[in-house]
Amino acid sequence: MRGQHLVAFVADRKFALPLGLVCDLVKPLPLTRVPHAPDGVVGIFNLRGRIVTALDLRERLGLPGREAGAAAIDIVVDHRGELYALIVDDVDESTSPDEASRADLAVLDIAALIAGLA
Amino acid sequence: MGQIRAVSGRGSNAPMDDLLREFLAETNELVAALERDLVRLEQGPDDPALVQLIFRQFHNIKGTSGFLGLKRLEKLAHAAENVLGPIRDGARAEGSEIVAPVIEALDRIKALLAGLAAEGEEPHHDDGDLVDRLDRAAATITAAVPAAPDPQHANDAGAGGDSIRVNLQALERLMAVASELVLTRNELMQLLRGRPDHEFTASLQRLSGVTTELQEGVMKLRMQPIATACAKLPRLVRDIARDLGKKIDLKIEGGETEIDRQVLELMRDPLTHLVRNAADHGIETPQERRRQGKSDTGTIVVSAHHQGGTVVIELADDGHGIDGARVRQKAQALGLATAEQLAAMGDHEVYGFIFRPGFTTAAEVTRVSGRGVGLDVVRANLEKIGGAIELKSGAGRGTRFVVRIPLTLAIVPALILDCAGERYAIPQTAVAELVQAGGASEHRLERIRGGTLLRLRGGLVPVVPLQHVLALGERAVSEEPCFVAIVKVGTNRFGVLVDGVDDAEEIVVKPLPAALRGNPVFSGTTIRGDGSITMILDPNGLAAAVGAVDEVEDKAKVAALPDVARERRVGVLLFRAGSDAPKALPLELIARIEEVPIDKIEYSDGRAVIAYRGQVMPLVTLDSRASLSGTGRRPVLVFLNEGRYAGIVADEILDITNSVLEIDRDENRPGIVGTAVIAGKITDVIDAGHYLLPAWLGARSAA
Repeated sequence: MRGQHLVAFVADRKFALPLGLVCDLVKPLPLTRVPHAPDGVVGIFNLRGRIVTALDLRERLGLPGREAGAAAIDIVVDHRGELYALIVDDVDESTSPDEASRADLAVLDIAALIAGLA
Repeated sequence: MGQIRAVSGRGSNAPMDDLLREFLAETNELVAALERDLVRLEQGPDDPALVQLIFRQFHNIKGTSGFLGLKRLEKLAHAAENVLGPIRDGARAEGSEIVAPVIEALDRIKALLAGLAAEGEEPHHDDGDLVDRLDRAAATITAAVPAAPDPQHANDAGAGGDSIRVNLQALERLMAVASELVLTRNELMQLLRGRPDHEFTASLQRLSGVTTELQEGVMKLRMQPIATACAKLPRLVRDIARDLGKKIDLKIEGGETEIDRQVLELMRDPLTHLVRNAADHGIETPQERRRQGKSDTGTIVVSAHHQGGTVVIELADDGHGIDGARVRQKAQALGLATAEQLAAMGDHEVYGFIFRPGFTTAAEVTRVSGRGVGLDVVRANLEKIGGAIELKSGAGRGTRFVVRIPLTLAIVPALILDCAGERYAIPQTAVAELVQAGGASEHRLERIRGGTLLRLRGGLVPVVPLQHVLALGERAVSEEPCFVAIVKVGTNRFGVLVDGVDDAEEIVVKPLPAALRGNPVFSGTTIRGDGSITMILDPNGLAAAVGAVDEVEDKAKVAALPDVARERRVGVLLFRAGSDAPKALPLELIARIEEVPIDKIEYSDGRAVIAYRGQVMPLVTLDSRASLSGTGRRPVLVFLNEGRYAGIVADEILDITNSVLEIDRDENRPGIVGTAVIAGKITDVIDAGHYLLPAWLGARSAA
């Protein structure tokens, strides 16, 4: 039995994220750009005094870029004591965490996503 | 005085019971103290109080390890205690013979503690041989003469009763929370700025004062005395002295000087390296010292004191010192400078060379040091934390290193730079000065062959737009006003061009997020008063990114030659070369004017050269068809660049005048900058770089 999941939309795809890793859902905050950052890292921002590294999932997954001004949401996850914001288009609030676990969806491997940086 | 000692937490992979953890922390501290005390005992065995202290420390270790069922530790401590017992009771013993096996026992205890920390239990081995040796040492001590216990030191064992241990991570967390509080306070202050009558203003002021006090208090908790970084030095010096048959006395002064523990950690290796160097290379053997009329025993003094916001650590030895003449020889042999440049330098300047990579004046590589890790690494490590090191020495007079390091790395004064609409912080310690350039400023930026140079007090400093370093697109170096931060990293000096500079401020440094750790140009981040994040530039990283600056500088310097003196009266040399028409050059570009006998000119690979001041100076003519044959003498305009000479052979020197060189530029005539009216006549102004650059580059590749 898989744990609870959160469903997110990225471009025309749907992914499931293990809910246990998710700390917060926030509207995108102003970013500080980081020159020479690894591909996919769009910047960093301050979330209540902690520094969060923002990853654009469209870019990380090789999907087409988001249109300027299009809505987006940050899924903040904790990985090894550091915070990362996965920028997605939207989250699916109509699917309950338990339904999401049963749904036949690709589960995002967050560890691999982050380890692949640098 | 109360004291809180920070204790490193260990990995949480194996559950360890609190008792054991406490035992390890306490015993490690005892071992560090013992190490220092045993070295002292070896030097002066006649200190009953010291013997008493050491005895009791071993006794403590024995007692607690017995209680925890740590058999090996208990046995070793017991055997060591047996050696010290009779001495404590008044027996006489030769210091070093007795102390050596005890030190050996301490080493074994250290290894056991390490094993215990890693595995949670004692490693299984036999200590029979060592215990035998200790027992034999104990047996050689002559029969005891009972002595009254020293009442003065009877209470030492319980010292530190008013201090508690604090987990290091808890302390770091507290520091982080205090920093966040500072930021929140700053946010509030910004919201209420300029509203003195607001109902919150008074409360906020109180909050602000308390916050500052809290932050300072937490910072103080992180402070540790420098002595903790020196704890291992006596043992190190003792071992080196023993190995090399030297007598060395190590003195530590101002050990109570406090410094942030993070800085202290980073200080430890450079300090150890310097002390090792002094013991190994600095102090002579007793025979050698006697020959020079010094006492047999050499002295190394490590002293520390506060000076402003920095800690100054001096490390002096009374050994043979560093011979300025040898440094000069070596610098010349390595091609770091020419004999003439070296002759013009003071000793102080010459000593700077010993911090260059690969530089050693040690005649031989010894077992102890001189194995490739040199003072360049020491300097680099110190500069990484915003420190600096210099050497004061003299042949026969010993060596003195002066190290300056910041008190803390957690809060640093920084300049905030504007670049391409973003802000970046740079530690103020790395910025030598700020220069306003371009526009109406007296400091001009020159674009030369792909590089940019700032003309600063007669010198040229290579300049890179920060925008280029950060790959934020092109930035035209135009006539618009801009700022150049002159950054100094080691001997490297370069300018970073930015759009603007804000006030200096104290920033709280946070480490880079994990995903950005490999970033070459940033060393950390900081959260500003408005809650936004600003990246902190790493001066070393900038230097590396600026990279081949030296090369650009070399080329640019030559090419820049004709660009001086557009607006003011300068000395102008008028000469004839190739044709009858007079030619002009600003005098300040010319190192000297010589007359050379034509028959002394030689040819090497088809290039004309002449021996000049210990160099082979390439010679060029303005007209490639002109021959340099015949007899008699010809004037040569001598130029100097990076220590190398090159000459332009003229036909005749016509005049030297003072004139404003208003050059009418002409891009289409190679070798000519343009024309200017000098003494009422239109005169070609020569582009010396055009002629000299190939000669210099040729000379360099031939060298």
